[in-house]
Amino acid sequence: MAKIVTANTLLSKHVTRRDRVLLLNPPVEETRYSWLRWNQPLDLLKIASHLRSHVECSVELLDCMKPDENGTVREDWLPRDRRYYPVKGERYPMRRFGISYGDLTKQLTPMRKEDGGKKKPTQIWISSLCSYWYESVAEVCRIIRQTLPDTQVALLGQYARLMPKTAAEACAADYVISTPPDLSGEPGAFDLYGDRRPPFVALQLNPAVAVAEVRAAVERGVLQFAFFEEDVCREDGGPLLEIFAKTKGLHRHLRYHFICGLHPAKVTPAIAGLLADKQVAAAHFEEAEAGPELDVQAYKKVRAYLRKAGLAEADNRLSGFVWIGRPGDQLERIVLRSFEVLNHLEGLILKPYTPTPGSPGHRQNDTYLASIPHREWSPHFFPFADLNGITHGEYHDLYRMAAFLNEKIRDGSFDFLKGTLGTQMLRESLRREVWKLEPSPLRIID
Amino acid sequence: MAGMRLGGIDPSILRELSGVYKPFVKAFKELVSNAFDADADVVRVVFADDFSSVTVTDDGQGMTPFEFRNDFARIGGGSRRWAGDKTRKGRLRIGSKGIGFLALARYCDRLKVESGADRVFETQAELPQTPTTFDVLPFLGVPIPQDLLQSRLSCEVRRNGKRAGNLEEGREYQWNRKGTRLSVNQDVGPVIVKVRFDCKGLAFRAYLDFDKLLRLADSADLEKLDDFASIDVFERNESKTGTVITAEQLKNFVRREMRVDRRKGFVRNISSRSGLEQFLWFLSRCTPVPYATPAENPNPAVAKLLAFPTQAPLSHLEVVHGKSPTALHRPIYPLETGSPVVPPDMLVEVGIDEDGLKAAGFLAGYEGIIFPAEYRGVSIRVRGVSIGDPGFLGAEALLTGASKAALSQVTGEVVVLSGLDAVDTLNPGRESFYEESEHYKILRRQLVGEGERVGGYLGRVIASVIRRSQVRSALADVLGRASLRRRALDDMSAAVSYLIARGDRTAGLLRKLLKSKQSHVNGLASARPMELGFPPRIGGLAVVPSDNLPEAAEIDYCAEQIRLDTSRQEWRWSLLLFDRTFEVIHKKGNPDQPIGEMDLKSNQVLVNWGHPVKLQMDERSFLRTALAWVLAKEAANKDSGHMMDLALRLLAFNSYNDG
Repeated sequence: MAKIVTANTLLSKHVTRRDRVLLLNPPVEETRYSWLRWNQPLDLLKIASHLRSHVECSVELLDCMKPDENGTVREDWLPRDRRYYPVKGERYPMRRFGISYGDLTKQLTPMRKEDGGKKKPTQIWISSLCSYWYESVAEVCRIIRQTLPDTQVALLGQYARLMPKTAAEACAADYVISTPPDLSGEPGAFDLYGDRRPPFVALQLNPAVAVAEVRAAVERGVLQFAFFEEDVCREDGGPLLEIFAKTKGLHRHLRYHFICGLHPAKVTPAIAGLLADKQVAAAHFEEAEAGPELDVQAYKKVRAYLRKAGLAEADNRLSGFVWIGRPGDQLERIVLRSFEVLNHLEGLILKPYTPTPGSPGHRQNDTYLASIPHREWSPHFFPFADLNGITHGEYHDLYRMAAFLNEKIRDGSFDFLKGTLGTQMLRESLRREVWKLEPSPLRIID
Repeated sequence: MAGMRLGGIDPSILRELSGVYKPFVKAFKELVSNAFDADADVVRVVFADDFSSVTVTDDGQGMTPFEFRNDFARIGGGSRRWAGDKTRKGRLRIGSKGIGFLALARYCDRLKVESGADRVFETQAELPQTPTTFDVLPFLGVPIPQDLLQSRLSCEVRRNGKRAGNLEEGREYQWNRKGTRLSVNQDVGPVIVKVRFDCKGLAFRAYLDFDKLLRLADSADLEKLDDFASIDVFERNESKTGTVITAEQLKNFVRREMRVDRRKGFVRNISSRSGLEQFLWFLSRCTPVPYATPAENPNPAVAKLLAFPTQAPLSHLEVVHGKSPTALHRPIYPLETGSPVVPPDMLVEVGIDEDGLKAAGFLAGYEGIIFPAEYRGVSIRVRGVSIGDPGFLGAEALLTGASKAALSQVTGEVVVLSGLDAVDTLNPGRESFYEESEHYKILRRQLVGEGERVGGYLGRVIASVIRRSQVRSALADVLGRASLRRRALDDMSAAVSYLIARGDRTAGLLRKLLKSKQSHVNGLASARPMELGFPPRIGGLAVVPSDNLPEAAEIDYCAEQIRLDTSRQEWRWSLLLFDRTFEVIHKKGNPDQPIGEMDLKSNQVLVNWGHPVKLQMDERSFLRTALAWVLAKEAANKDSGHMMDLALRLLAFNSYNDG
């Protein structure tokens, strides 16, 4: 069984400058992965910098989720016996995203012999972005044990951090890192991608580090940036504004994507001014809540600020999340919230919920969650569907509804009117009335 | 423009003769062959944009109007008979039968010929009796304008027989005022009239009206043949020689064929390319052009075999359509850029020297099918021109099965250096040989053998192709079986990892098992071992174990051995179960012994290949079944419900199916 250690212990006792560390971002087995293009092992890239600067050992990266030359990440059905995952009578199709295990084996096997074994990694560190993505981690551990039997395997990432004991029992690793190092000041070692640069660079709100990363990336021709933060508006947007100010004018095609952590209630006029800039390619607002209700005022405030900053009424860069799959979900409330969000933003994104292990949300339901298989903690399986009475089929209907609403509101059906009053009126009318369209399988209509 | 009479040939025969040249490109090549025989070095072919006409310009020695009439536009007028086998430059002539001018008769309405040469034309008539008058113009056969006659025409009349001697002009014979008729004053018995015409500075433009000619075939009216050809002789302004031949009003079907677009999608064969591309390909194969020599020759050995002294080809043959000229070179598959390297055992040098037939070249076999398909077969060249399409001289009709299939992997080029070039060895159009020709019989016997068995050079190539195929097939079988057995072990390894990671009830059983150090071996350990390693020979070649090879195996046909990378997983019998590695031992036990046993003390799994279940399934399935059964039995610890559940889960598991 793997030894559970802290990162500092591992770094101080088990890694030396003579080691060759291979950082591995494993494939993902999941039923759906809409945010596939934003998969980037930022923790591994920062650890690489840490290893280089503190341990001075050799570091390589094997990113199984890196898009190919055409910009696509490989997707495959799982083998026949695991092609569908049954949850309460609903069959979820299962896919593996990222390079195949066969290709991974082919990439690892030559390392054993290259240059008489001089290039063989002495340690392989495997990360995982979510705690419920453990099957691929276990399989990658097995493949490494088989192809590089002398190489030590260390697990880190969310699975190891949030469920260290389970990870130690379930994976044939040597170490499970339960406490990651503080990497906030470390830049991502994007040079590990070599000649084939990544399609985007993930940033965190450390202005000194982020600005340096943006400058380096722009020099290498990478122009897309995304913030991986839980709250991008923290400190009244100070760090964010600083990053923007210091990277302004670096390249005319430089673009920022706010894919998480953008809370409407925390948006200030200055942040709104930044969002109105053409350098922002997409801004997805988190769901704003005031007690049990949607915080409509927060959305209105954001819209007012944006209007003041010169952003046109309809701008397809703006979207809003609405949670689904929470223990207290009510179908009517989700639908109403969806319409409300669409009253203020141009896109609706349903965000399936699952509590982070160890969080208050998890502790409140730990007995229930312990009674279902760990695999079903994935938000895409709606683990709380039993508690809130919404069926899996109804959740799928909600997805369809969101797609339909987005299609109707964001499409270019009225573009020939070239932004005239008629266009606006038609769009507004559609926004208000689209939910009345018949027929619909939603219970609220029935 | 005046009419010119052709020899009395029935037009229907002319039509039949013109029919031997098909398709269009094979007919067209006759114009290039004519240019070659006229000692041209540079030939330029220009198509009209809409393919309505095509013009061939050469820098050869040109023709006098009389040569045009007597040699070019006359059936059987081939110059080989009277001018010898070699041209003025010493080239071996391609043309022989004198029907080449008819080649294009079915493909265009009219042929325009423009040429000229500074040569003197001489001819004579032996008359049994002294004529009173002798008309020179009908005797010449070419309508020469009056103004060109005076200074160029001269005659000599002499007695024939015992009292031979020249008659004196003015005293014994006189010219008329026009200078076209001789009058002899007295009967001197049989005479010889020698006519001499100096063509220096003259050129002509002639038209052969094929449309009219072939229409006459229906009426069979010989008299009208007079109008089939017309000629206009005039003084030329420049001293440049050479010939320009234009095929005018190409038939619609020819234009359509030339305009055909390349077939859409992925195409490999020449027949799928555009009409013009096909024309260029076939023209380059049937005209005397130099071999294509790529910058990076993949097969220098082949180029060496083709570097024998033979007659020099045209320096430059260029085809122009639109703005893009294309210089033609003779394509040879092994000399193509990107062509696979011909292994030494698949390259056969051809050398024939028997009874006056001399030929040289090569035959090459490949491990894969040859594309474009038009490269398959042996091409035989006589005097620089390939005779017909590449083929196997009838061997394809004798072969069956794998030998016949191997023909699609054979190409070759045989150049006849001497022999097989007589008039009676080649069919009209030079598309095939007369099979009764002795030289052809020798060539066929040397290339493909005699009787019902294919031998000779081709037999050797086919044998090497089949041998390689058999060795590869046997090796693939050995590697495939090893890979499947390895896959069974990997499946079981992945299944155990997966079930443990899922963390359900079976995970606990498996974890407990893999922590155990107990031995449960009972009898199978003493059974005789079974060898499942690599065989000593594969496909007749010795197996040499190696490691760190870039491929799973390397075949060295010359050294008659296969180097097998035995360091690969496929040749190991290790079974990784979570974090423990077991060795799988194969036993030939009794049918009543268990299918497998597990020795957790010494990390071994014993598999009984003598178990009756083996009879029902292949190696991979049996190995999976045996391992799943042993693991389930040991992990379940005598709980049959757990055992069945675990065994089924292990068996149902499919490892990643992406290779």
